[in-house]
Amino acid sequence: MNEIGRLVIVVPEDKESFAGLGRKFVAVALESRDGVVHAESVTRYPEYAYSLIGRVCDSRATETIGGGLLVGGKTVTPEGYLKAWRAAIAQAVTPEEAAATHRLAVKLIVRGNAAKQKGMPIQWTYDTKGGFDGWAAELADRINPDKDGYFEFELDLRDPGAYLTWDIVCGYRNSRDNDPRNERGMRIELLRDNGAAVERVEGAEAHEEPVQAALFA
Amino acid sequence: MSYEIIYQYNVHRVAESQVKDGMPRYVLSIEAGSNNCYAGNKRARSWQVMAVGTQDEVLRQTVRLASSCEGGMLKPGGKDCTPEALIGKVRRLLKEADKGGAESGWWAPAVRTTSEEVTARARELGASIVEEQFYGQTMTSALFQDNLDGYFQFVSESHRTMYGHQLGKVYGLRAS
Repeated sequence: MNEIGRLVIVVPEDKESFAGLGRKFVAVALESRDGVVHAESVTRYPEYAYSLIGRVCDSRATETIGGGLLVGGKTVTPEGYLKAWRAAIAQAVTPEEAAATHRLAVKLIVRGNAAKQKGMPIQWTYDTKGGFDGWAAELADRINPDKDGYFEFELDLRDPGAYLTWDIVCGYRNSRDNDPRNERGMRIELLRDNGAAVERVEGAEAHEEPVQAALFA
Repeated sequence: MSYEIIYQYNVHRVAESQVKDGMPRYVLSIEAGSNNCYAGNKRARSWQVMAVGTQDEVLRQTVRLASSCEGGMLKPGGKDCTPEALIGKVRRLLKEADKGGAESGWWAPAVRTTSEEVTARARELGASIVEEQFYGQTMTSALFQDNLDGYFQFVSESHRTMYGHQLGKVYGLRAS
């Protein structure tokens, strides 16, 4: 792997952590493969800074040892690599800046089962809709359940209240339902100059996706 | 919040001459225990292997483990620590081991697992397999006593997914 850059996007959520953990971030690693840039999220979902650094340790930083992960074509120590990510967190950009400057968008994938979640009472003090049914009414045009009740739609992190909507609506899912149609998600989308999507990459595992010209080179 | 405290470190160095590929190996052990588990009036602690293998393999396992430092779940000496500081500490320990630091205790090339796949691979590499009880759970112990080359081959293949305490055992180290 040859990492040519990294970008951290701050989540514009409407609330801060009650535990003083600060804001959540989306960390995007930019890799060059065969002269083409790929954007990959380091974490599956937005995370606090401490969790993000932990995830970098757990995954990419280990690969710097022995040259499994190069930065700009050169070997780097894990300490140096972590320093680069800390700098990126310190310079985190808003989703609007990420789209305008780096032509990159974060899409939050809302999934759940409308039939099973129907009637679920309010579970969080910051849930302004008073339970799942309130959200279902608000998002009626976006929740289109399949024959088993599962639904899926996307929110752009730039949309007002997108993160909280994703967080709360996905929070009503039955955590014991392991059906992939019930799994919340996040993907990074590279944009063309006119704002149209050119690449779809979901989660931290998706590598084999269509490619695009070197937007970040 | 519960967190793990590291009290002491120990490194056993396996000389180049003991391994066919001529690369030294290291068995890095720690005396560690949870902050909220007590044995009498003292926090409970025990020695365990933290990382094993070549210098690169040990560092790789250390970086993975160091992910717990950032969130405060792993605290060397009971104090907050960055992942970078723990990695630096291990680098220094490996250097000291190369200089021939005083060793104590013993280590055993014994892999502990519940995975049939892992057990099968260990058997292929020449391990003798025995069953043992570990905290009430039946586990397989793959013993490589007279087969260090097979053991370190297994470590090379497994160190990205298995943890040090699964990859080896230590005995006879002084308790703090």
